[in-house]
Amino acid sequence: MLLIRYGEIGLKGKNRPMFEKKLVYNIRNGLRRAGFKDFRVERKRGRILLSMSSVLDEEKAEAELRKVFGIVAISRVRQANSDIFDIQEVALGLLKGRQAGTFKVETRRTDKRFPLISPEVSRLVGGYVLENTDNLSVDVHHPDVVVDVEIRQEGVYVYTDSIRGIGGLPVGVNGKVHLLLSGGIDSPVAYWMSLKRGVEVEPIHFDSHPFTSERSREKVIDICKVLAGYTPESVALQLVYFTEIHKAIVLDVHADLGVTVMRRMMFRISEQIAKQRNGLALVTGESLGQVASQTLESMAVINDVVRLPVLRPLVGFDKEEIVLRSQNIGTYDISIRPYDDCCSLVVSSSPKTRPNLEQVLKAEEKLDVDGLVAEAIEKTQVIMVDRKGIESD
Amino acid sequence: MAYLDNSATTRPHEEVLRVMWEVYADHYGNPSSIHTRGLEAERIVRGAEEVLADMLNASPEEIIFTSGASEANNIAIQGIAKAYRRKGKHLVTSTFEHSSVLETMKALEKQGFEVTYVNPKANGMVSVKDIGKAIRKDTILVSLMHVNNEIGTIQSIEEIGRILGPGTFLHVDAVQGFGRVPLDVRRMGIDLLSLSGHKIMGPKGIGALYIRQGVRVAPVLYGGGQGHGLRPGTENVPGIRGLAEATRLWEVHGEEWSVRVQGLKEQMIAGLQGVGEIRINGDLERAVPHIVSVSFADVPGEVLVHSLAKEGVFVSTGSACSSKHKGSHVLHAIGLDERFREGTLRVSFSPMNTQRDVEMFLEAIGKVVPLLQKMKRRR
Repeated sequence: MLLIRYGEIGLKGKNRPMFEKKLVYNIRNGLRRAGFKDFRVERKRGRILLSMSSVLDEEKAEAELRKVFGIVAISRVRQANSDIFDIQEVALGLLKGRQAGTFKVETRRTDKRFPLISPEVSRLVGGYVLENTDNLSVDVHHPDVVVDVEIRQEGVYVYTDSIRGIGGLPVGVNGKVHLLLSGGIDSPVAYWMSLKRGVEVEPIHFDSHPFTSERSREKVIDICKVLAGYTPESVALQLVYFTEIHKAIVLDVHADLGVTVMRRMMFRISEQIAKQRNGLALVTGESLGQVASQTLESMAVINDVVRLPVLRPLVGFDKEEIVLRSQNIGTYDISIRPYDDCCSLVVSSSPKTRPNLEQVLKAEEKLDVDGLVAEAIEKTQVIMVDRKGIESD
Repeated sequence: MAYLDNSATTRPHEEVLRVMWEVYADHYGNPSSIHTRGLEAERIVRGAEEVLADMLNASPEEIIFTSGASEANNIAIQGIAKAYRRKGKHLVTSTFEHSSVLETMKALEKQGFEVTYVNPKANGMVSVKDIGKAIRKDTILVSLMHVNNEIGTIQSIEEIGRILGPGTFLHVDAVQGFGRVPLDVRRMGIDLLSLSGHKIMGPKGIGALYIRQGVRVAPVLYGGGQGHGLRPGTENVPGIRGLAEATRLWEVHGEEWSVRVQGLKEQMIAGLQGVGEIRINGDLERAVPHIVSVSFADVPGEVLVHSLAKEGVFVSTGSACSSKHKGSHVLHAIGLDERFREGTLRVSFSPMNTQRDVEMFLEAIGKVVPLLQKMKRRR
């Protein structure tokens, strides 16, 4: 059995049952999507218990649970009868065969019917383990391992070694957002950061094939595969047909405003998709001052075309931090594959770092903005991506 | 669909697939096994050696099979360097060789060898005189490709063979020439020669190395003694059979195929004349029929390839912008202007291509190039 603890959602007052239900749902769905069949998830007073049919499954499930947002810690648990002798045996079973070291026992007794008080239980269990092993000693200040004994009305649980979960909030409790996903390092991290705050994320990718490689589309799908490991449902990738817009910008917009106009088109399209699909905000992987286009002035001009809030979860990170996170998430190696939009014709050697809104508006007069946006949206494909790849109906 | 990327790889010939199927299904023995099944397999390998030897005017004992030309190049160059290091530590090659030669040379430089890299001329030819000048008393090996893989020029191997003294061996990477252009190792003075199966409608994962009798090559791979101790590992019998079949097909049909392909090349070059600023790279008088290297001014090559692919036309570019330097090392080596280098396509034919393929290519070019040029020039 695994004992799952969650932190933050415990603080959320009246919403708490909803959050808990969502977390249980996410755990169930996640495990099911990972191929687990025989398991039971129960919610009990601020904890979630997961019972599996075999210990081997438990180990594998642990790895899955470490990717579920909202979980703070996971421990392997043995159940004991409400009887001190049985508790002693179970604790010994958990520690026997361990490497030499120190331990201590901590007891919490919420079932006041149990005849011994917590310190007594700790002492008796600790003593029993000491007597029956020859390589363990007690250290109450800095033990190598803590044995937790929880005596509750519904049962007695003995566990050691809790591993940390990723924390955050259960995905879905905060509604849905739409994220602009490129093949690069940043946007997948922004995706992950958004999930962490409990929002469901639908990625939007702008596909300019043949101005970009077909392999860059593959790359985005591969990134979605990794991200789908953190979501309770498969990822609904919105693949926007951007070729015509790309072409129009290159032909009709002055090079140094190209990137700004392109981003504005992307924002317009994203907002419309978000409105159609109940998205409450847009998210980007932008950070401040990393590249020339990511200045406050540039953000303001780009932001001007939308009314939805635009979240930029990476704004406080340095590049190194983003890289590290992307490595931990598992998207880094995909993001650094060489074929992204390196050949993008839009990129100018000297983009305007401080574009002026009036100039940009003037430049856009040459484009049929509404028509281009409508065409791009009409030709947008939704691709459902799960951990193993594209889902076919 | 028009597949015109046959210097990258070819679609295997149906006969090749048929004979390979037979080997996979029926003659699956290990040539080293002493029983009947093993003997059958060994006969297939011996038979293939004969076919290749005939094609090259070599003898069967001079052929070993490898996983491809890259491996053959490695075994040859490293093996000669290792075997003759006491005689000299200098090697000569050109700057537009395949990476399996250039990288091997670089690795040898780190081990204390000296390498002279000769630049080809603007017409895509390495001059015999320049090779002569590069050779020193301690030169143990000259390694040069027979046909350049990006621009198709046929190098003057025979002349180079003639100027080398007895202490200097000649290795030829013949991947793009084998089968398509006559090769005679005796007449041309070639000591070692690498070739590959999948460029001539044979299978992938198979190649061969010719080593003239009397040339010592020290092993760089160790194992069960197959391939005269130079290429250990159970022989890829189906691949070997497939390579032999492809070779046989070229021996029988090669001339007729060359004429056909030359026709396609001329049709293509004529059709390209209307497309504005272009360059055809390499000396056409000294090039193979199956490769056309054409450069368009102010066109990003990679985008052009993607755009053509969308039209169902498959070619390659030497100027993938993911590579660090703009444009290929080959185009760099022949001194092509940067404005053209970026927009270079390599179109390469197999005998299976038709005039319709060329028409499709030209139509697609007419549609795509002007737009890309316009886009590029706006930047």
